[in-house]
Order: sequence, then structure tokens, then C-alpha cells
Amino acid sequence: MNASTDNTNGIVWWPADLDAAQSEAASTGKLILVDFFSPT
Amino acid sequence: MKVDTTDDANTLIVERFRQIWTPDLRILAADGYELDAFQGYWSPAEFTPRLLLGRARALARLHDEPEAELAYEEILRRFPRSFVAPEAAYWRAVMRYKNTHEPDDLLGGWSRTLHTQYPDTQWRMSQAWSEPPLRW
Repeated sequence: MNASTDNTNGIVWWPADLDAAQSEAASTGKLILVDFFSPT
Repeated sequence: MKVDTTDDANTLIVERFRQIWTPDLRILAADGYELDAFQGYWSPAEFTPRLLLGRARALARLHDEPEAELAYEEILRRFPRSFVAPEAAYWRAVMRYKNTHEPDDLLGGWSRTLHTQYPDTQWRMSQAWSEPPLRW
């Protein structure tokens, strides 16, 4: 799975795959930030 | 992670989190439990402190009081005039007290911040249970 980094704040954005995000969080000890958005 | 709520592929995650409006940000633990949530538009100047507040609240709810205290302290140091600063002041004192068990770290911590810097806020009220009703 490919992640992208927002250069303005260093947040690493993942595709909308909660299982992958939880696996990453479990292995790194990081929190998960979920951004629900509607395209404008 | 970003979730496009108009994409049918994301229906399950939208329903799981009872998501109804955008923008809507959630902070989750590794087990998927929701630790914090905030909705609506936040200006760039307010977004960073709100995000830091989310991290601090998450750390507190995960019972990492030492790191939570530092996280609340960072908000007060970097963004003392932000909308979320009064909440950070309230909880910094709580986290400090939980770390030291010294009553002055709680009551004095509130007094030194909320009473002087943020007197007309909800968080000033939230620690005023033993005082006469506040006059606004």
C-alpha cells in the first residue's frame, strides 16, 4: 500500500484502508488520523 | 488516512463511524477505538493547535499522562491565544496532578492559568464547582 506525505505538516496520508492503518499504528505506536472529506 | 465520503467504496467505514458531515476528523487508537473527533472548518491558524489538542486528548485517554501533559503544554507554549488553549490549560493541570498527586498542581495549576489568562471560558467554569456562580 502506498502512502503519501503532506509536506505542509508532515502528516502521512494513507488510502482509506482502516486495517492497513491499524496494522501500521500497532507496529509504530502512532495514532491514526482519519479525514472524512467531500471533494469540492 | 483520507476517506472520500462520496465514494461508494467507503460506505462501510462511513457507516461504522456514524459519519454525517464534512469536514470531520477522527483520531483513533491502533485498535480502531475513537479517541477524539472534531468537525467543521478550522482556519490554518487554529487547525494546528486543534490537531495537537486531539493528540493530547488521545494520549490522556490512553493513560499516558506524562506525554499528555507535555502535549497540552506544547499547545499553551506555541498557541496560547488559540481557541483550544483554555481546554489545554484545564487538562494540563489535570495531567500534572495525575503525575504528581500534589493538590496544588491541580488547583494552583488552574488558578495560575484559567483564572488569569482565560477567565471567560467554559473551562474556567469547569473547575469552579466550589465557587459562587460566576458573573459574566
